[in-house]
Amino acid sequence: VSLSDLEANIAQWLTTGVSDSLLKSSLGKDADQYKLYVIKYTAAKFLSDILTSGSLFAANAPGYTWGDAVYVAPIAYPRSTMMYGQAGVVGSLDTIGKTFYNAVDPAGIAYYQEWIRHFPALYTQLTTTVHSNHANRELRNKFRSRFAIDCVFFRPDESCSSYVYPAADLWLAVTEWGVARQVAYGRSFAVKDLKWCAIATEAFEPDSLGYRAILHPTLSAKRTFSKSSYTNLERDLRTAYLATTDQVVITEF
Amino acid sequence: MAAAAPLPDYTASLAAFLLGDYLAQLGDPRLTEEERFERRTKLEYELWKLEDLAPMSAYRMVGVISQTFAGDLDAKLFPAIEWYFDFLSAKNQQWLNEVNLVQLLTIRRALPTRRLRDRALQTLLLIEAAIHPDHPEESQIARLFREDELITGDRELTPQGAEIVELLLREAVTSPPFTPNVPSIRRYSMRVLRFCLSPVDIPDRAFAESVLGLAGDIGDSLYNELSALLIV
Repeated sequence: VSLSDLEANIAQWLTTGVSDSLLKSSLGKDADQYKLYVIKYTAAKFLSDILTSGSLFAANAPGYTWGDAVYVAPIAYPRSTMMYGQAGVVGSLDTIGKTFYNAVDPAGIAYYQEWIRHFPALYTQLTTTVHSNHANRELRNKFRSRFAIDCVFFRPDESCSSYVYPAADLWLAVTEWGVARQVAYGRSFAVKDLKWCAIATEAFEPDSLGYRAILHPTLSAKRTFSKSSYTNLERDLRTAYLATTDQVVITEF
Repeated sequence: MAAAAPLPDYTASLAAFLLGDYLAQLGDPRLTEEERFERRTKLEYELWKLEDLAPMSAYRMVGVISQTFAGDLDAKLFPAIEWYFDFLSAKNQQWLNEVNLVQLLTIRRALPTRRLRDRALQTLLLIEAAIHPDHPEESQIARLFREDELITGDRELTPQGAEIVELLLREAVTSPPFTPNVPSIRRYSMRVLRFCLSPVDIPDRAFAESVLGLAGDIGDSLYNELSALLIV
């Protein structure tokens, strides 16, 4: 297949706005029907800056799934990225006129794999050198630039039992555009109206090709959990300790 | 009326969080890959915070950061240079106007591997396309072609020349088509290539077509578009 024929097929694969049922469940309602609600878990140390600036950070290190982007999950998958940070920030993505690329369907992945073969220097770097991470990043960024893709949706590629469901969950790579409509990184306002809406109680650690949840469900099973306040903590801890069943207090502020 | 807040002293601020040390650590072989990644993340976070202090004047940081790469380049700084290319590639025109293009060319000449030289040229191309999209004749890349005599008298590309041509073609093929009011890397890279091949006259059609052949099987439509940009 020539590059131009392949690119014509890829152009057909793109969609404008949210038309895929996988994404529709995270859309707003009524006046907000074109807003896609998303969640980003981040380290607590970044939270203040995110809320103050109203922006997220488009990641740029080699190794991110679809290149430089703001990585979020649709709100329909609220636990799916929890292992990446304690604080959950919810925002919205305006979907009107935005170009989406379906990389859930194997056809979407196959198109990309075929496209990169047309760039032998980078493809060689990717497949036969120690610089594969860099080639990967560049090819993915170029692909998204070439087709002006605002958002790639794809299945999770890092596992975490009880939190990530690789065959059902969805992750998004949202593009931050640079001055020449090239994929850029850094501060991004692509996801708007950011609010800190979640704080995770789980703890995670790296495990194999993903993460392992330490508390749930292994340790959380057969225990009951109750919320306590900042001021009543001592009282509630005494109650939990003296109870005949295993009880754990979730400490609020 | 309140007095305007003083502009941050970027030289002092960047020195205070040890910019030079961070940049050196990006290529420190004593650190693990994870540790170098952590340094990079910290560096970018600190720059982000500094930018937030005075967003309208933050572009002045470019001059201070670029000083780190002045003079002879130690091989340990190559990862930091690559980071610098990434850093610039994500900035807007206000920032890019501050970049010393001649220094980028000097850096490019000092880089030992094709991958790094390609990154340097990509960065240069992006910056030039953003700051003077209608003046490819002023391109440092075309200047490099002339000064280093990358085309022989028999109209053959030298290996260095072919390296640059391939990069320009790849950038043209993989960049989005022209959109009004948006700097177009595709258009700019083909026009730079035109000045590389023939600084004064319109490139000879047969020679231009042989050069375009280096782009591979790109299909008639794209071939014709690139050809039209090259032979004007």
